[in-house]
Amino acid sequence: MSNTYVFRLYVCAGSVSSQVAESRIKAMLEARLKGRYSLELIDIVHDPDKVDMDGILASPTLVKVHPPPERRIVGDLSDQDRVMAVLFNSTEADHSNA
Amino acid sequence: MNTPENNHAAPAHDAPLTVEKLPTGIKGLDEMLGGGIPKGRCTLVTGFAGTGKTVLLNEFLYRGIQHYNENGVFVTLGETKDDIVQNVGAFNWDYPGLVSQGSLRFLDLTPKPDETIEHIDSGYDFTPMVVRIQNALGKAGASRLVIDGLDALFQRFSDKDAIRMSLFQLSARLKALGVTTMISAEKSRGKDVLSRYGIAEFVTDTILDLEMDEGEMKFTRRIYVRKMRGAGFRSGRVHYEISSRGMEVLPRIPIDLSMARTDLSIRKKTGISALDDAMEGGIPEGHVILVSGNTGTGKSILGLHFLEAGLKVGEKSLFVALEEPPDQVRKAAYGFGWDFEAYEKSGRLRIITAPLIDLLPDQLLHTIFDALKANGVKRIVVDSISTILSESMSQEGVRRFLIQLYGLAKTHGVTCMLSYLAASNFDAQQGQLLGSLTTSDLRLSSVVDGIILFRYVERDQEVKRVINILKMRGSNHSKSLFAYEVGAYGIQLGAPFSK
Repeated sequence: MSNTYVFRLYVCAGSVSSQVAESRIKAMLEARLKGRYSLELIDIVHDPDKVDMDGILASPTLVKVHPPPERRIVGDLSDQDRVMAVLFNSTEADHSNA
Repeated sequence: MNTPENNHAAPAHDAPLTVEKLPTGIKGLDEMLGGGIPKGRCTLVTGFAGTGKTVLLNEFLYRGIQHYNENGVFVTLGETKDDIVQNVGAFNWDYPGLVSQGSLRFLDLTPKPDETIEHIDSGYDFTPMVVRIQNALGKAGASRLVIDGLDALFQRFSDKDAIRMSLFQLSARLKALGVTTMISAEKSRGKDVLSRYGIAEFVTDTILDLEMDEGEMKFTRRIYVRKMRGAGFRSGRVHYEISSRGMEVLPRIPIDLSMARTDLSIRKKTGISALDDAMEGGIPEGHVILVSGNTGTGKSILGLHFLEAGLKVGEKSLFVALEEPPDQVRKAAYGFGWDFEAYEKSGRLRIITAPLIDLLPDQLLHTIFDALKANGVKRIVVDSISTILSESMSQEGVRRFLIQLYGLAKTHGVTCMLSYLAASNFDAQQGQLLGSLTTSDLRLSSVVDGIILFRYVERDQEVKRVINILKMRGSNHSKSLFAYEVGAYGIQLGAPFSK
């Protein structure tokens, strides 16, 4: 479990930036964490209650749920270096050793 | 540029002039807005911190539930839900009860305390926010929506265009849903939040602006309509109060002077027969009389005389006691043998007072107007105008008060006596008196029908007290000076003073 990353991506079906964000994060995760992550897609229009509970205001929003600390990135994830830095900064050391 | 084509084309693109208004239910505000805020539209409430924007939004929802059975949704971007519920507890509004019965629903969009910093990228929109608001409206079956603290959203997210776009999106949905919305945005010093973020363009219908000035002991607050689609509101700044009962707006009382009723043949006795004789039987009904004099000359006593003369023949009266507490007024009257307490018990007399610190002329006028409507008052004594002037610190406010009171007196056939402390009356010449009264900043002479002066004069090495009717419209009054004494039965006039 501790080796498994959990991500959630809140998207809006039909939105270009949501589609772009989805393909970008999938590519990034495949390249870096193949087989060691799960990515849940949540369509905000179809699940407003879930969006409420998680306190999502903007879309697309990527949430790194596990391992802690939780990280949130709002936007289409165009700046790949920054996305990686935000997601993996705190756990970078563990993985380079592994 | 200003071609005739353009001029003619403009109205066609405008919204129809008749915009249906939704009564907010907030005391005085609907009156000021000509019925309420535009129904199914967005109204923007702006003001600096502490002006009461959140209170206004709360009032809009609460009154909607209480008076019109309209459910509401409260979206907060600034304060947390718990803070808001706690704050309205001071008004004794049971928000938890309203929430559990389903008439009120909160949507807390403030950042959660444990929420990690959001790393902002580009290419996002606020569809989730719009969806959540719509979701909440649907669940509550709400027709009223407030969004508190829109400025906070602009502080949290850097993409202002994205916020603006989603506001457009939201307002279009709300319009389609027929939901009437109030949005608050805080102003900050030196920055016009409206133009900076383009919110004004989004909320094009109505903008209410709240202002606040520091008084001696509390703040004086004013509200004004900066913009409103479909006219019909009263322009100008209007005072409002926030008390334990919530918010109360104090619009000017509309007065139709075509209804004026001044009957010069009906005279109201002052109760001092020599004085009544000096003005052909008394003060004409509907007149507003200024009683001016130095301190201790007996202005208040003349007021008591005037009330007693009416009360004993069954006329309802109102005493506005600002100089002395009501109990002292009762005692003073009792000293002359007039039982004001008995008149009060029988409902004939009402003595009202007002907090002297930061007194609001507009509020006092509303109190008088309410008493007048409820009771059919025929005589009003205000003791004194000087107190209103010194406590409200606003000459323009007092002048407006007098003009409004003048209109009330005329339209309701109420005769008013107002005392006014004029220190300069000591040892002054009559010409100077007239001059100082008419040329003073208050310009009182033009807004009263009569002036009775209490003066000191030096005669034969003695200071004597004299009364002089300086002005009395529609009456061939005596121009003489009358010496007078204040004795056990009140004021007694002597013979006309020799000059």
